[in-house]
Amino acid sequence: MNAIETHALEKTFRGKRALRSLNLTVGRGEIYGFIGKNGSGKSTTMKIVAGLMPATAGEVNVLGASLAPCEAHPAVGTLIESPGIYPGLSAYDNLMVKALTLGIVDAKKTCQELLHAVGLADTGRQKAKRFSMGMKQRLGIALALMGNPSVLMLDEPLNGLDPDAARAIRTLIVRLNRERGVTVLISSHVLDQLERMCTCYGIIRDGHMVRELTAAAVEEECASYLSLSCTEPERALATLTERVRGGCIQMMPDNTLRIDGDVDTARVGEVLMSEGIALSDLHRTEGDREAFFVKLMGGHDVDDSGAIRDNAASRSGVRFSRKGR
Amino acid sequence: MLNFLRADLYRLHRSGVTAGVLLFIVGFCLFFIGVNIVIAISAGEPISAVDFPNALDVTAEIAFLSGFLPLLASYAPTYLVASDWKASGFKTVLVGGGARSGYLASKIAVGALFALVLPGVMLACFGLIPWMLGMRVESVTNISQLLMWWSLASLVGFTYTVVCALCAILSRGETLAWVSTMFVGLGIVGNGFMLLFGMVAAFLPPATDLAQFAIDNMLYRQAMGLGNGTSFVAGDAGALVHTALVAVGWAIAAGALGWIVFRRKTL
Repeated sequence: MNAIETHALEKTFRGKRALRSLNLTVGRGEIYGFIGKNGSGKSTTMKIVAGLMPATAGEVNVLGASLAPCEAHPAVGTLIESPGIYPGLSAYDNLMVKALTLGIVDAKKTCQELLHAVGLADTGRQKAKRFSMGMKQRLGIALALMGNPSVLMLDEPLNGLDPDAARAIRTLIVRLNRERGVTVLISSHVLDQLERMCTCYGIIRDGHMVRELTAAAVEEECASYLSLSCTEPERALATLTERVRGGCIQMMPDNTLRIDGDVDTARVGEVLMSEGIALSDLHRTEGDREAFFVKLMGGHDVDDSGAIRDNAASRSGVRFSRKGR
Repeated sequence: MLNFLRADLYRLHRSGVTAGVLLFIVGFCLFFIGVNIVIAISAGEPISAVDFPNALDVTAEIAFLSGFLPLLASYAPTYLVASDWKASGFKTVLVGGGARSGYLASKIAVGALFALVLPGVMLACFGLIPWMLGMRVESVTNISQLLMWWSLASLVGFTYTVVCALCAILSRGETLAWVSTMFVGLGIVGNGFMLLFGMVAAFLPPATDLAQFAIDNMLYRQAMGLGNGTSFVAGDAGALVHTALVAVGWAIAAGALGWIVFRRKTL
């Protein structure tokens, strides 16, 4: 049973299609990175799943239960766009409001525990309107955690945070996932932060799910590899297969060889030279996850020279990667 | 719904709304009594000569026709909904299993509670403060009339709260919610509609009966009646029943419309 599933989800705002037959699958126990450009439909999807907005068409399932339009699942906690905080109340009072709404029995103790968990235990009676952005985000997460949800949806929780606060929130999310088994659906533009915690990714473009893949699959697609061009590619393939261990060697359509794995570049050169095979090019290509995601999102990529390459280039087969030797 | 109600009352308490509203009523009563005392003293009369039951009628007129009783009662649900619009509080209270029906019902219940308590506080102040100051309170003998006025004032005030909660839901923002509340509470809308219906009757004589029917069934018209204080409830019983029915009808209509609008509204 998946934590969240949407089938053919559609949302139209005054004739503009925000979501186009969106299929999203978040497995239980995953930290799912939901990636897309601004206006691609991430927040809209989350709002529909949270019951804050009706879908135009399609189906939403949360923990196996099919949700009616604008129905909220009790096991889902959210932080969407901005934390829904009452600025005139303290952090404790904000949590108490949520606790009373959910009918939590030991509300006071739960609120204290959550404040402690997110590092706001010492804010006392200070009103939330005086909080820094990081404190507000942490309070938003505490609100989302009220009632021990099995699924947490966080929309841009790292926005506007300094590195220290971002790290603290990232650590908190990972801890919740590992210690409490909370499934997390998180959207963010801070890709390097997502890379450090996500186990799965979904890339949305113009309201449509472009691709869903695991972190391992991203790792594989963005792995570094050796690329070589030589005069006799078939003999080079046979030689390297026989004499170089620890790599996966394959011939590419353009007659270059690609060697995946932890293989020493110098050793490859030596082997080929000893066989009398002349090398015209040998370099290591480093995987670039940012470029990989940007390409899938349909955005622009900046190459090493600083020039902007648009999506048309990526569609024509240009590989977005940073070359290094 | 009870969970929402508990949370709403907690919010009103912690944000100081409850205390502010009650203090306003007590302050108003003290001011009004104080003015009467000053007038009595300056006229050379003993304080005990001031007739507070009549003062109550005058106060009721001020309280209802200036709209402050319905306005104060409406303040609570409007504050709750408007601040949810402003702070995206819906995300806090509705996500995680809170049903929209419970949310709306809670606001209506808060309105009912305030509409019931506030006229009671006003009556209590007018009973207790003069008594504590040693003034003449013995003429407040017709308790049944006071209770009847309190009941009707609560009912009409409650209907105002439901209408204002609806306005707050429709507004999608804080400012419009307050503006609509003030307009409803202050009776500006009521006066405007009465003027409009009067003009219809003047320019289109065949529609006179229809215009009169509309005027008679306006909520503001009932508030005007309650503005006459206890002398209103001492009048025609049929008028009292009519007032109650109009209030209930408007409350049901506004509540139903609020639910229709809110149940699928994007938050």
